[in-house]
Order: sequence, then C-alpha cells, then structure tokens
Amino acid sequence: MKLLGKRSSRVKIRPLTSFQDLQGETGRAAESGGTIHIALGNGGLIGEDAVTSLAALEVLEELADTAILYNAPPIVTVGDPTLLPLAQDILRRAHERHGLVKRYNPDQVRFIAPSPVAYAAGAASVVMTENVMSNAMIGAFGPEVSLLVDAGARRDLPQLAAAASPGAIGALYPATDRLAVGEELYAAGAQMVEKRRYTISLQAQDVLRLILAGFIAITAALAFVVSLLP
Amino acid sequence: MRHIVRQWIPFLFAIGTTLIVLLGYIFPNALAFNYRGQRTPAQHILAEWAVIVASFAFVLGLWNMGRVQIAKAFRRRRIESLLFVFAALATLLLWLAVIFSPDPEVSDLAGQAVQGVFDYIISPVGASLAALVVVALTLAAFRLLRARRSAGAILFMLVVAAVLLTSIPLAGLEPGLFSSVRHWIVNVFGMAGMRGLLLGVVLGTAITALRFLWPRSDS
Repeated sequence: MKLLGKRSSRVKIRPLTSFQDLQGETGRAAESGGTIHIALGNGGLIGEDAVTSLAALEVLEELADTAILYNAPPIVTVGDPTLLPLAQDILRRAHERHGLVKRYNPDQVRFIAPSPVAYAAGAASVVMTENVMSNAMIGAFGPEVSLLVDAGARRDLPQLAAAASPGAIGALYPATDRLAVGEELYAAGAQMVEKRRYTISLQAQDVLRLILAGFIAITAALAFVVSLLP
Repeated sequence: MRHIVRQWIPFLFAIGTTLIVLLGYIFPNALAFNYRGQRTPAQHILAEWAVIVASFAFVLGLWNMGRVQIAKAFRRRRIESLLFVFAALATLLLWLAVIFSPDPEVSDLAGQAVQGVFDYIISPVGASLAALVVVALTLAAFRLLRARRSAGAILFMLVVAAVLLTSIPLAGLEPGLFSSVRHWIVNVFGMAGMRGLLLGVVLGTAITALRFLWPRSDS
C-alpha cells in the first residue's frame, strides 16, 4: 500500500520522550516566569552536519509557535553563523503569524563561537546566568556537549537532547534519559506535529531500512556460504 | 507570483545545484565536478558563492555577538560581558593597526601582539576548556550512578571502566589479555553498534534532505 502511494491508515509513531516533553517543558518554563534554552549545536549549512542542523531547525520551528503563545520565546544558541539568520527568521515568522511582531527580539538567537568547545562553554554560561528553566540540546554536537549538560545539571534543570554523532551520544547518555539517538533526531517533526509529509518520510525511511537490512543479511549469508566452499 | 518566488525558484535553484554536483561525480565531464581530478568552472563558481554566503553569515554572527554582549554589559551590568567588549575592541584596534598603519614598525608590533593574543590567551584557554570536558564527563558518570541505577546504566559504566582500564599500560601485567578484551569491546561490539547508528543516520539524512528540497505544501 505504501509503495503504491495509496493513503494508508493513520501511522503510529513510536513515542520519543525528548520531543514529546519539549512543548510541555516550554509551558512549565513559562509558568515559572522563565524560558527554555535550545542549543542547536555547531553544525552549519555548509558541511556534513547540514542536514542534522536543518532537522534541529525543524524542531525549533514546531516549538516557536507554542513558546510565543506562552509569551516565553526561547533563547537559542548556535555555534555556526550560517544557522543564525535561519533561526532568527523562524522566530520572526512565528511572531508574525500571531500578530506579535513588535515583541520579536533578534537577540533571542545568539551566535556564541565558531569553535565547538568554545560554543559549549559559552552556551553553558547562558544556561548558568540567564533565566532558563529547561535545557534542550538538539543538533550536531561532539563530546564537548558535556560542558553544556553539566551546567544544566548543576542548576537541576530538566534536560532533553537529540544527537546523531556517536561522541555526543556517549556524552549525553549519562546526563539525561530523555535522549533521541541517531535517526530519531530526524523524526522530531513527525513526533511534535503529525503532518503528512513527516509521516510519509518516516514510512519511506522504514522501507529503505528494511531493504538495506535485507541486503546486508543476504550478502553476509552469501559471504559465509562462499567461505565454506573448498 | 508570490508562490513562484517563495517556493519554486529556491527549489529549482537547490535542485539544479544538487544535480550539477551529483551528476558530476557519477558522469565526470568538463562542465561539472571531478573532471580528471581537477576543479571545473562549475565547481569553482559554486565554491565561491558558498564562501561569500558563509563570509556574510560570519559578519552577521559577529554583529549579533557584539549586540548581545553590549546589551548585557550596559543594561545588566555583567562584568564578563564588559570584559568581552573591551577585549573585542582592543583586538579590533590591533587588527586595524596591522592593516592600516603607515609605519611598518607599528604594524609589526601590532601583528606580534595579535599573535600573542592567540598564542598566550586563546590557545591555553581552549586547551583548558578541552580538559574540562574530561572532568564534565567524569561528573556525568557519577551522576548517572546516583540518579539512574538501571541495567543499561550499570552496563554502560562497566564497559567504560573496562575500556579505560585495558587502555592503561599497567606494568608487570600480561598485555595480551587486556588488548584482546579491549579489541572485542571496541572493534567488535562498539563498531557494530556505531555502524548501525550511522546507517540510521544516513537514511534519516537522505530522507530529511529530500523533504527540505521539495517545495512545501503542508497538508
């Protein structure tokens, strides 16, 4: 049915606590008079982390409307300047949609530093010194994300994370149990807002994964059989 | 018209660039990429455009950084922001002296001062931050044992301890056993897990990239 392009029944998406809790955390932060910090990582639009950064921007786009309705626009930190205008545009458009353009402050999005370790330290400083009630790390990170996570842990902040790099996952796993790993980062849009284009792309991903796994299994079995032959 | 400008023109531009790059790798030719290992005119032009966009983005980033820190320094009286503003101004003056000074001696001195800032301030601070990463990771490990005592957490700590201990050249002990344990953990189980993770990332990247390239019509 899926391959024929026919509309199938409603797709069930496995719940990912990282993204399910994100909008709730925004509301809780707003009730406490604070805001949520979103770290988009040090990937940019040029390089191998481009798509990871775009997936992180999708999360920001889905969250921006909720945050603005609560009058608690997030503080967004970026480690690559190419993400800065995109993140600012997302917040500005969200303000425009709700007729609150005058409240838009471009300084809610901050370029910290181009170096990964300096970015993590600078973002940690934002978490420690600003009125942040929740810490979300979504995007391209390395092991230096542990500095950012440590800052959130020192303030006992609820922390959510989504990363694709093995180094970052190793650093984030001890810090939070609300962690989206690898391809789960790219399912954020489907999780937060169940738009058809997201669910269809998840279905396509599932089909490709099955094909790839089948191919690997068959070639491994063939290689084993060939190795047994005299 | 608005629909065409906002959706179709960026889409056609992105798709066209993608096809030039992709087809150039698959069918090398003199117009596109990788023609006999040499840069082609198309590659040169696209790389120049990317550099221009990245440079403007960097200038915007510096402007944003300055705005935020100046606002924190003067409205909220944050001492670290004040120090940042002074340090940035001082470095900017030194750079201007290097570039525009009519006296070569002054230019040399300013150049040495800028080099000194990188060698004696920025590099050591960067190294210290990198060392702090190790401390932060260790603290996270302790917090894991305190907050989450699940089977996964205990297994994680055991594997970390095993890999670290088998990496140390302990005097008087048989190295073969340790290296084989480490080899199995890192090169067999660890590599298998990483390959599975990266396969998923590759699939997610490909599908997400297609989703971004296609013009949006939310439904």
